Amino acid sequence: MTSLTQNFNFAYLDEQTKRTIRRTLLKAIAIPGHQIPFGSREMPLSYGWGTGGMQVTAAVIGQDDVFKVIDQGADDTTNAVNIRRFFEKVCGVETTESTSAATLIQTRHRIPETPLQEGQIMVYQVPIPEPLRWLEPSEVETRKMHALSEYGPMYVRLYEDITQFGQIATAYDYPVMVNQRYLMRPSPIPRFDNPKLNMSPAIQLFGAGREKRIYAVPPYTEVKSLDFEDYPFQVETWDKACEFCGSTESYLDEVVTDNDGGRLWICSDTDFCRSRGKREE
Amino acid sequence: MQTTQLPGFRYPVYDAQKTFRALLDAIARPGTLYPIPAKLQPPAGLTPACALASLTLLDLETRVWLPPDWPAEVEAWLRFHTGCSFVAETKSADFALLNANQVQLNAFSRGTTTDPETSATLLIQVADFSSGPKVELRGPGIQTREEIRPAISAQFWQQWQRYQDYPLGIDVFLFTADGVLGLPRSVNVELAQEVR
Amino acid sequence: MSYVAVKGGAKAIANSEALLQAQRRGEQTVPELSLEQIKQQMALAVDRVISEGSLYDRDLAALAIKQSWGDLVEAAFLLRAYRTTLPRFYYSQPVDTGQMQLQRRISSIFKDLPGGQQLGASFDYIHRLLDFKLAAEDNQFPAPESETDNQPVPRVVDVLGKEGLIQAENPIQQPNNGATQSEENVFDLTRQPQQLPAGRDARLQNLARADEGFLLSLAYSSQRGYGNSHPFAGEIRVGQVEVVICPEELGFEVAIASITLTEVQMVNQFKGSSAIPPQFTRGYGLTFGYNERKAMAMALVDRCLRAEEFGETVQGPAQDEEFVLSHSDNVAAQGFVQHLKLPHYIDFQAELNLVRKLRQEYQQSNQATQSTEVEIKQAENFDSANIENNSVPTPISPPLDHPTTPHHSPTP
Repeated sequence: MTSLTQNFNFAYLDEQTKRTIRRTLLKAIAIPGHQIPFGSREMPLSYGWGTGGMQVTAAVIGQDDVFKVIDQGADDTTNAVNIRRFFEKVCGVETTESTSAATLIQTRHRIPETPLQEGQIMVYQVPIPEPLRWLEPSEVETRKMHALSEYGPMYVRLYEDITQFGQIATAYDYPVMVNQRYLMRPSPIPRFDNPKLNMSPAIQLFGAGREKRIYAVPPYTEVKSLDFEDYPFQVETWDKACEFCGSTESYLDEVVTDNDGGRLWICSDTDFCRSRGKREE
Repeated sequence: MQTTQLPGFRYPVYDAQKTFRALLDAIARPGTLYPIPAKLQPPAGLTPACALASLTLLDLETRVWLPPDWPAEVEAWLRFHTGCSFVAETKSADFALLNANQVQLNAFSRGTTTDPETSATLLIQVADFSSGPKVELRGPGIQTREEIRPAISAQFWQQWQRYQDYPLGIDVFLFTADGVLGLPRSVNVELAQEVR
Repeated sequence: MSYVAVKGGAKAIANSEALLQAQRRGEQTVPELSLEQIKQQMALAVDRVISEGSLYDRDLAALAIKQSWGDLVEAAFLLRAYRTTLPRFYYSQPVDTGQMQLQRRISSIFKDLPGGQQLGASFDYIHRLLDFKLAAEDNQFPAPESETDNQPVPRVVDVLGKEGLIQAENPIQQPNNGATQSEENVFDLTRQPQQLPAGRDARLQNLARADEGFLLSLAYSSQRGYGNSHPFAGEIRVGQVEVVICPEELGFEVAIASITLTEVQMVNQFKGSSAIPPQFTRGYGLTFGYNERKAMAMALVDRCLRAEEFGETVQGPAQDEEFVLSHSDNVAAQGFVQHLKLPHYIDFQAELNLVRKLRQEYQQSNQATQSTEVEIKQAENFDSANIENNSVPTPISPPLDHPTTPHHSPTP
């Protein structure tokens, strides 16, 4: 029994597996938002813990890349640390916490606050890729619905929210329409991040390992959050500022400070927060 | 069966990864030229960039169509280095290698409505990216519009307009000796006025 | 700030791993388990792991069991993660279970038959009484003398087949175009994504790798009426078969291994349809190692999943192909269930904001409702004589500020 580095190919996956994923990625880019089945492999991490994102990263990453991993917006959450150290081990690539220095960013649940640039690649970890899944559990049926652009039921569901709650009660994984053709799940990012998907200069790749699906959004592609004329899509705002950097524009995490209901708010994007803090010093 | 003496990738893992990134960038940014540094000696009839792309994309899981008049050495080289299988029927090909003057888009599969990704990908060799009719591209991957003029006929672009039926369609890579230009099916093409 | 304590993920992971290893080993004074001990004395655990890990390597399975504290799902996962990137050199020829060197062979549909019934080592007729002698060490258990002649024994179901009484197993058909596959083209779940509807080859591969508990419960449900399963155990056989490859460069067959398999063929009655005469049908189960309970459950579920093929109504979960095939894999299932342990505070924050907002609106509209009710009550009190107040808004509808909201009635 030898250790990973001695025994495994660059980026862990064998070349045959990388090729199948690469072919899938090229097709995914050509059909923005369309989910493509792929022969997902078991990874040394559990399904549901980022194996789809990891396989996409493994197929894309090269020696010249500068790699960043975030979970919940933070570079130092255990899952982010774990995935980063995996690729350090199997690729030996340079890693960074800086959004602007990274060429390849794997993420779970957030898009960085710092605007992405041309030449960057985002890799999203996706638990459930099918936007219609809670409306229709059968894969056979949902594939037909995508083929026919039969997205009425999704609008009905959102409209039911409005009749019941006076607003669309979907806080994250908010469905989007890509290039006016495919309904897509943006992965469980908060709807706060949805506008960043639209006309992004970066290549955005989505990997669902357990569900064995890959999809993508090329740069400069229209990604529209579903809404109604009289109920336009809105993101949430906070009437608080980040305790550390004072930002009022970034996505804030609520932290419980004591047993008496004490709270404070801090940036979810640790790199954004730190770089702002520095600027103001 | 003809065999080949010519080598493939020098560094299979790294050369494939670099070539793939050029292909990914190219298909993601239609109309933008990406270099594929020529690092191997391909058999006669294949440009180095197209040869590198073939080694990157093809393997025993892919079915390939080659024009019947291409040198047998190309087939032998691809078979030896990738293990891909060759088909006589254009419609059942996952990939086809062609020269610019050989393209008949509607000969190839556009995929199905449930599985549009099962369509063919064409790897087309062109002489250059500067001497053909001028076309304007719009669509995903393009901020506003891109103008290109690869050495391929106006008929090709007319076929493109007629036969692509998004999301069904054919994806194309154009190769010179050391560069690639991507044309995903999602691209809308308009021929410039003078060649209409 | 104390919240910096959230940092240091790398160190926390390293410490957790060290602790895991230490606790796995347990007391240093107790001798460490050897892989050979696990292989020999926990053979059924090893068999389950090679079956669900879908890698026939009993040494690595023993290692995986040791490494995983005896958690067999975790051990199967370790094997899967190991096998996933192994290069493939050859595809073997189909194994011939008719040539099996039998350890055990049972048929419940004939009293006696060529080759006879052979109990082998089985828990079936053992009184389930704790054997306290085993708590002591150095027990000696001599094996009884065996009289088997190791001649191949024909499969029971083939006896029915000769009379045309049981449906023949045809070469694998592709679900979509009906084309017959060559042996090299057998669907491989480990290389290709699951397709629906699935071919029988993909289905059987899925079931062979499936979680034993999941299959057991599904099979049980089909016997209790959630499905239409009234099977007979046509044959259960356990033993060794040879694995043979035929490398193209050699041009002849080479035996590369002898492996233990459990094969189960269930026999079900079938009344016939317009296309098929009345005959028996079968459900098939095959696993690596000695995994009789799983192989039986697999055979039941396989038959249930053939409902459509035989024109039967799908009425139970065990007959629902998409449901069964999508949820059978414990490596996938354990991952997704347990991923809820990962931080989800971003999405929770989004939900928190939303619920607060909804509650605020709910309370505002409730207060408005109550004040309306109070006003109405007052009106009733003061004006009880002339209650012709059809014009008063009904109390259950609070004031609306949403034009597209016809019925806004929050329920407490």
